[in-house]
Amino acid sequence: MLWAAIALPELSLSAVFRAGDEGPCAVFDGPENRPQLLNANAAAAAFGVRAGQTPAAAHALAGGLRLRRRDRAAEAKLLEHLAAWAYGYSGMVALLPPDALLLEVGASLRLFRGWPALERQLREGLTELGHAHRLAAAPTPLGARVLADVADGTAVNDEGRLLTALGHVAVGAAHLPEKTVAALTAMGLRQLRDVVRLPRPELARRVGREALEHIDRLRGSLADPRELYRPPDRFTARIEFDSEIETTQPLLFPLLRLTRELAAFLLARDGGVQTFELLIEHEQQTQEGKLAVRVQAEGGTRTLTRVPIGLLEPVRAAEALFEFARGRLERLELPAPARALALEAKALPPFVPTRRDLFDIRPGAGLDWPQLAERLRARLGDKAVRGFALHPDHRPERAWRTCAAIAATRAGSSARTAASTRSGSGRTSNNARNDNDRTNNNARTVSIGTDAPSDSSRHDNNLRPRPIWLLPRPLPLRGHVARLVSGPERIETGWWDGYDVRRDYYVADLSSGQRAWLYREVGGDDWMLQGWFA
Amino acid sequence: MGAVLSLAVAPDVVGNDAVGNDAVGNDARGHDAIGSDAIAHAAVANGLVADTAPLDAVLRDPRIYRRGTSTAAADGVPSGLAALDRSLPWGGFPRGALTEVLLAHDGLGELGLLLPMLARLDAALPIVFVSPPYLPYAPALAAAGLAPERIVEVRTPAERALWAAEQCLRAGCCGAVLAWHDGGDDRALRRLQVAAEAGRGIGVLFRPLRHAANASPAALRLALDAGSGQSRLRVVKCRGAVTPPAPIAVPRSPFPLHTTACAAVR
Repeated sequence: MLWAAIALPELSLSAVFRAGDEGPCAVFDGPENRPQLLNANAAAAAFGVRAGQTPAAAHALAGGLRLRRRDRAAEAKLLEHLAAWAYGYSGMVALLPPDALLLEVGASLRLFRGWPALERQLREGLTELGHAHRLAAAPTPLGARVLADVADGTAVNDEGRLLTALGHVAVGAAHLPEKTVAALTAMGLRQLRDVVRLPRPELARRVGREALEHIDRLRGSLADPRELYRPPDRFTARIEFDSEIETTQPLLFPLLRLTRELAAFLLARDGGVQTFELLIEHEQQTQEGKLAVRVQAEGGTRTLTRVPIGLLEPVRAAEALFEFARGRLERLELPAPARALALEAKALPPFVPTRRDLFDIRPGAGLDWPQLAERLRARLGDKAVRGFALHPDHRPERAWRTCAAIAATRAGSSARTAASTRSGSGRTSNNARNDNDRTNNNARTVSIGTDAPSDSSRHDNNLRPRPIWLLPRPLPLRGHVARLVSGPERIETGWWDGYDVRRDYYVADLSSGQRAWLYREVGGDDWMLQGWFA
Repeated sequence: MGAVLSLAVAPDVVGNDAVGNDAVGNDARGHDAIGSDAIAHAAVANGLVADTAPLDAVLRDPRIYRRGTSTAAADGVPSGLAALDRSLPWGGFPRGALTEVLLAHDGLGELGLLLPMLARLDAALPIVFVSPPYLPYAPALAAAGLAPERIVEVRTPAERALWAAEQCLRAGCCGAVLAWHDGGDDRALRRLQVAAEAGRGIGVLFRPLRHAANASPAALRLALDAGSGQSRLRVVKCRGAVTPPAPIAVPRSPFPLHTTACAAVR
């Protein structure tokens, strides 16, 4: 194992000051009555401001010094954020609070072509993120951490060289408990070399078990298991605007940034996203719509407009995410000027890329069906695209169901898809109350027709004449029946579920030349039109 | 290369992106018979094809047709109606082009005309119905040999229907795109035709019969009218062939679904 330690000496500063802040800045901590400076930036250090001074002394040294109290929560969050970044370089990342990260890089060396190349990448990334850093690599986590402090850029890959390197480290820099450091210094031991040279029982008696174990872990003679960082299974990002934004058009640019961040996050996590939400924050009170929810935010109450975005399949590509979110955002009318835009994804299902033939030359725009369906849904509304499935019922208006329009493209598995869509298709049917139908057992369908085309087809329900076009609901016939083509076919069922049907169905040619599917209630005289044989 | 060909570019098929088609057309019409090399040169000179394109590729360009011999390069899906297939240069409904079906009313057998063709398409690709006038009825589709799962309905307001149809055609991932629209905007139809060319799909647009008199960029235009006992199909326009003068009878069996179901079993 080779551990790389990233020490972030200015983490406490970055947590409370923004990256662009210039001029002397410093962070203080400690009890109210005796605060102490914890960290100061380069500009402040140039005035002679040092850690450990009192705020009053620091102010005396640097006139325009900006002081803020340390924010441990912000530091932890920032460290977590950096761990997510580091996760791109190693599958084993451990947090070492308050201000360091550990990466197991031994397994990643070949991928990144050796430590020098990896080190360069890490340094470039950290510089880009705006963090001062110190880096070292060593076979033990603590060893790497200590070396990062004392000798930036060291890399030792065997235990012998680690011991040599650690031998020169001052006792005070070995991350030992303060009490132990004081005790060892009092004993006249300045470097770790002097400490480890002592007989172990003697040392254990003088510094205690804990400190001894610390030294053992440092040197690699005691195992040092670490709790590894696990990337979060939800994503939230937020951009606050300097001014109020009144229309959705200017929101697209921040939206692009958010979706890109989301895509990068998904890539690192090897996941996709199927549902996410855009949250638009408003300063003003909006009318209490169903989208608007009031939230407590820093600096007062804000109202929130939620734009839920549901996709048919998990998606990962940044452009696709942006396009779908954009379509929905553009259809929205802002109830009040926006002050901030946030993106929240809570469920991150695994992402399965579409399989594609290597030699398949795809014509046109080369979109996959899921992408096309999403594009249509984004522009026309979530319910604009739908598929169909059969439903076993004799009543014509209940013999079908809608289903998600994604089933269409599952190549070569139409039977399986049919089964799955049928089982899960009860969502948006035109009638919702027929879950308990056992129509196959209870229905009584009587066919009195004599002029069916062949005897064999008479017993097969699929081959009874059914029109391609079904009217959403039957209408009284307006036209004139010129000729009856076939019928009657009696459908009499549904007495048990409150949707009783007793009808005689006919196929008829109208005088206009159209072929219609008509029925008459049993005992009635009025023609009702239910479909067209188109 | 001895073939003597006459070249013409259908004047109403010029896509938005086509450059210099008029020039090709005029140039070609100026000569009664020119060598195929000359055609290639003319095409190259006008930016129709890249320098390296072989002659075959030039001739396969949808904007070029060879009079008389066009059935050889047919890229169509048979309609199942022999009389219609014989008279069309593609041997059926053209791929990568827009077909227009002009209807007197709904329910004249217009979908029955298309169902055998739809059943022949790749079963992995969806068939998109853009703003159909009624509900596509799943049991009837299943009986016609089309799995209802393959049918996708896109419900949109009329003004977005053509946009949706264009998106589906251009994407190139749909087996066929069937759209219903009342409008007669020539530019919109042109866009659809170009999108169908780009996506190499089958595009069918259903419009009222009153548009039959107006010009249209569609490659194939069919008018469906009510006859006595059966519907009459008239080929209004057919790019690359002479339109048959006599109307074709579209047989409407009492159970059109029954016959197609048998065909699907094969």
